[in-house]
Amino acid sequence: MIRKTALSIGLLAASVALIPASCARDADLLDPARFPSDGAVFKDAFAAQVGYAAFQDSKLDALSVDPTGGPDGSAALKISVPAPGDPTGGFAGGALVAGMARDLAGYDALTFWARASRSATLDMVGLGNDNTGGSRFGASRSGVQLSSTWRKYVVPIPLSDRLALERGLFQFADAGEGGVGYEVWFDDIQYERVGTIAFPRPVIPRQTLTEEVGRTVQIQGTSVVFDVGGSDQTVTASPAYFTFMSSDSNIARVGTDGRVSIVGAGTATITAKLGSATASGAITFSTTAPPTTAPPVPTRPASEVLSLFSDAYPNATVDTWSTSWDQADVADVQVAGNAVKRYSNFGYAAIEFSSQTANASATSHIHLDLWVRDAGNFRIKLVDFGANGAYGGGDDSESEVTLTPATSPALKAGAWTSIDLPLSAFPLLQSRSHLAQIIIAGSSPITYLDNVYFYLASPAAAAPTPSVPAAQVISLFSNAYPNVAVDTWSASWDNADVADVQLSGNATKRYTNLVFAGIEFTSHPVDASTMTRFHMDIWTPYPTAAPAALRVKLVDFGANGSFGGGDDVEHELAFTAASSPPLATGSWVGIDVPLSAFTGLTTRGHLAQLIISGDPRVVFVDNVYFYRTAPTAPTVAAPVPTVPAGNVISLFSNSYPNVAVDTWSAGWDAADLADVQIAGNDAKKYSNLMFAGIEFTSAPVNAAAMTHFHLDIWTPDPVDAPAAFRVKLVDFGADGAYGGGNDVEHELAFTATSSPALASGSWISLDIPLAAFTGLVTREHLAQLLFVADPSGPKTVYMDNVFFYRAGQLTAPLAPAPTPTLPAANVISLYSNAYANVPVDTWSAGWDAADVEDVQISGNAVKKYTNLVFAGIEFTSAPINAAAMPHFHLDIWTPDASAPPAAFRVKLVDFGANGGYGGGDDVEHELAFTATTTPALATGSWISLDIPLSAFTGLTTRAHLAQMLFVADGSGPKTVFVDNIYLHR
Amino acid sequence: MKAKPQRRALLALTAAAVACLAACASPSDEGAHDWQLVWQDEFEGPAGQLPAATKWRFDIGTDWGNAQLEYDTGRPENASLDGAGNLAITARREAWLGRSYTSARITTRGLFEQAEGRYEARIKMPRGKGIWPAFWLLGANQTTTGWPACGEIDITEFRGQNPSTVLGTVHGPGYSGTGGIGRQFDLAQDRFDTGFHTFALEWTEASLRWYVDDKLYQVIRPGDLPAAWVFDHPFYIILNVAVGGGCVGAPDASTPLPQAMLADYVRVYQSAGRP
Repeated sequence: MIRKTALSIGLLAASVALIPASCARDADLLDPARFPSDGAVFKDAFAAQVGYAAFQDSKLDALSVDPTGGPDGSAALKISVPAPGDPTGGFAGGALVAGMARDLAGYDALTFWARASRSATLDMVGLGNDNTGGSRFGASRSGVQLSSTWRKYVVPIPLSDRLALERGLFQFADAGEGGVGYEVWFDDIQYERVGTIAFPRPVIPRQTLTEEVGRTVQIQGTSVVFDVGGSDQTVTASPAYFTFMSSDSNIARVGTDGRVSIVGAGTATITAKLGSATASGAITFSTTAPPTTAPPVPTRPASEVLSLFSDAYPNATVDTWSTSWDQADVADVQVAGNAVKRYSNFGYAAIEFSSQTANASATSHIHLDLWVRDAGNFRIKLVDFGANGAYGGGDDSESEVTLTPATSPALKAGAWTSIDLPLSAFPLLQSRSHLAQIIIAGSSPITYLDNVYFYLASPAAAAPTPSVPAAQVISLFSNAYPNVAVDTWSASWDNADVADVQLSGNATKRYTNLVFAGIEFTSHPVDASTMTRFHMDIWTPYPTAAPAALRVKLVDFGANGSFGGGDDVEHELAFTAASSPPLATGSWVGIDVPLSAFTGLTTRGHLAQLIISGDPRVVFVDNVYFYRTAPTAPTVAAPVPTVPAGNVISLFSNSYPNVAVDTWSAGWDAADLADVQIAGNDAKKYSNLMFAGIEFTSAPVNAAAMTHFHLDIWTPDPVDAPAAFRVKLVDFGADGAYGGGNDVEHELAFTATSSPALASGSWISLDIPLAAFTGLVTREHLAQLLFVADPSGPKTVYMDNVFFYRAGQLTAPLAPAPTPTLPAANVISLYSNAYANVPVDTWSAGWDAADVEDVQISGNAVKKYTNLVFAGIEFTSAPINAAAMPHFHLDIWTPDASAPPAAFRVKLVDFGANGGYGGGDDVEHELAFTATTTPALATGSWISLDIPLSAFTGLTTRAHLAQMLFVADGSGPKTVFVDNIYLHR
Repeated sequence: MKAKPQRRALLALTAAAVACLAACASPSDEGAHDWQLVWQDEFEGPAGQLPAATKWRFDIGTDWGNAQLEYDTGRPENASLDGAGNLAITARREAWLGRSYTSARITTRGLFEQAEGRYEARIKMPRGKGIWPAFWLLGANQTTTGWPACGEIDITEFRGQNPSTVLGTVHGPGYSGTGGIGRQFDLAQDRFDTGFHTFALEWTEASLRWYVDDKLYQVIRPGDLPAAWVFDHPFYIILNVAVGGGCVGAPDASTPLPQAMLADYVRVYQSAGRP
């Protein structure tokens, strides 16, 4: 069949009028009543002023007058209907046009006689087309059966009063059938009042059209069924014959000749009458406003996008956005200044780019922005032409995704929907390196499309920053740690592509086309033997529903540190949606597993390879490291303090004598306390710490001479902000008691960012100048210490070495020598606050070279020697019988250098049996103490010299001990404080 | 109430005579008759009212020897006044007692029977393929002598698919069924289903004369028949609309139903000269 659409575009291009049209008057100016009502068109000859005009593209010479071809042997019109493919025209068709318009209102039919050279179907015959393109009242029958004998045919006039001024008297069109042409004859073409034409039943389509405000729609498909002598006959009648009515003229208005203007959103139904006869059918316009905003501007980097249509990207070549074989009309329109594809009459549309197929293998998703007014469903089919890049050949594949309001993403009506689909949602697509078609289909007759592109999805944010302390980590790849050297992130032997990308400024590895990726650090194998866990953050845009898996393999090259040699071990773990952690799509998954889970990895001193494989073809990787978990308790003791004991007032330390502390967890505090041992060293463990109160009110500490407060703490708890650990010192003032208006206190907070900084899992020495406790304006009667973790600080804190100290060189002891503990009965004391002392004649004999004075150290009497060369202490008046006391004790303290050759000597003299100086029975012995002796000489701390008298080997008698000498000649200490001089047993 | 054209018999006769003279050889006995109205039904009454039981009875049943497809009922849905001065006999497409169509057939049997006279009705025919309305007479002795011996005069029969044509026919012994004697009348440039037309039979002992709109189109005399002239005893009147049947064929999807035959009136005259 020929395309009939061309027929109504009857241009007079083919002016083969057999009789020249001679009417030169303007028909519009004439009184219609004066137009001839003659019904004759062709009756053995053309009626006056009637001529033939062939239709455009028709066989122009198809019509001729056959002088003897008529039914009665007279002339008839003869039409040569061309065979298909006739070079002179594909069909015969044209109009018999009156030079002067006729008034045909008095007739009810066009009639004619016709026959054909064979049985044939006359495609179209009718009236009301003058071949100018301006005819309004076309009416025709189609598919009229002709035989080889003459018969009379009737074309009922749909509504004759419309034909009061008509030039288009007769029209026909016909194409050959069955591959051949034939002849058709017409004669006695005329208008008649037949009288037997009755019961007009006008018909307009019964349809619902989806349209948009602002558009104009031409009603089509109108016809009338007449009863012609008892048989129904359908006449196609142009809409101009009809009178149309709109149910809502605020939505749809019908203008001239059935042109509907959509003026508002909603639903309006167009009905019609032909004269007084109501037409069956109704055209319902369901209208909406078109989109007024553009879809969101794409933000993905152009480098990750393969665009087919977008204002935001350069676009690949697309052959067509609507192929000839699809069911859609496409138009390029502007929406809010953005170029958009508008599909109308949309059933399905094929977007073809087969001349340059698209290689989307390096992408993970397809994006399109969609605006539909009917969200029933929308389908997207991707078609790949396979390796041969051409349709067919057995390697084509295709896959389709259906979207509805219930899918994700959900289809929305009347709004832009951004569709992002992973390409893996098209599981039947065997390849995507030769994509050639996108076929879209859907329920929305009007569909807008924009931003059609493939892209490689990326995480929106970098992987979470690791929080494991760097000291516990061996990192292969992380911005959070120093990384060990990695030879390659994609070995030559693997099947993957890797790229370094930045996510929010964070370096990330991006694997594409991942089948398996080999990461090698053979040059610098990792000794993870002290590590306990393996961590890797991954992100994939791919579906991770079962059975998809991502596998991680660790390879240890064994003791020989190189591949092979029989000592290599490896183990692979698979992660799925059901594993722990579960694999997920589109979010960072922190794979964090104990190395013990790699059961085959029996050694891990020479880890050399990490191999990633699995189903996701695109994987982002970050923070690849081994680490050891933070212990819940310290495994080593806090560092041994180095401050000289003499500089220290210790509350709690194994390194110092400790002052008395009433309680380490007062009844009013909120903390649990346990005394624990860490590697043999005493420590305090606070748990459930809110605040802990340590009280030493019974014996307040005078820290006036101290410069610092020290404590070592260890917590397993995270110390990220806002976690804080606070230390408060309280001084009870001069009254030495709580209250009284003179109490002062100050609290300091320590955090991960303070100095010193809190840290988790390691001993932290808080070494704080007391001056930092600015509110602590007095510190002579320190009585309380508080540790506060409320509200977010560490809840478990180990503590050791809690002491005050004075930094730098001392000139005098800050505290008295340790109080002797021996029972008085076991002692003969020369000088001590702890005992009753025997009489001493002098502490500096006239003959010696030293000065002595009595000083008080914290209320304790001490002898202070200065300018010491040698000091003579005499108790000759009452010599001491040391027979029952085999030990000599002396506490000394010097601010002077004690490094060798400095020596401090002690000499004891026995006057012998005569009990007096001389007489030949005196004996003596001198012992020297240096930094290397035992006990050792030291600077700035009390040294207890507790010496068996037997060490004084020359002191062969000791029943009449009468002198003692301290000797510092040469390089010995010039200033020495002395206390607790006694003999004991 | 619409004004009903009251037929003027004399004028009509004159016109008919003229037509007849033009159409056929006019025998001497076919002069003017002084037709006296003896029976009529003008079908005045409210819509939905059954035809007057004093004048009409329903033939209820189906087939009637013609393979008619409808079941004829006695319901107003099938035969009742239309309130506009017409009787409507309405054929419907509906399931009824094993049939797919219903309609009606009313007669004056036992209520009004007469030999000879002028029988006239003004009718608008229903339309559509397979619709077969008729205005006709049947010998009142049918139950005793049987058909076709009783005689049948089809004043008019109409086939929906031939809207411009009616048929006038007689059936009797030896000329019944397809052998009936008759003639068709073709309406020029018009059709019977778009307006009212009058259909009349003038029956004397000498002839049967058929008229459409007072135009005589057929005369049958005893000598025209191949067998006995049985039109010598009382007949009664039948109005019916058949659906399908041998004469017309079955309706099809194009047949618009329901579809009514409208009868403006039925009038019967007797010749004034007849005792």
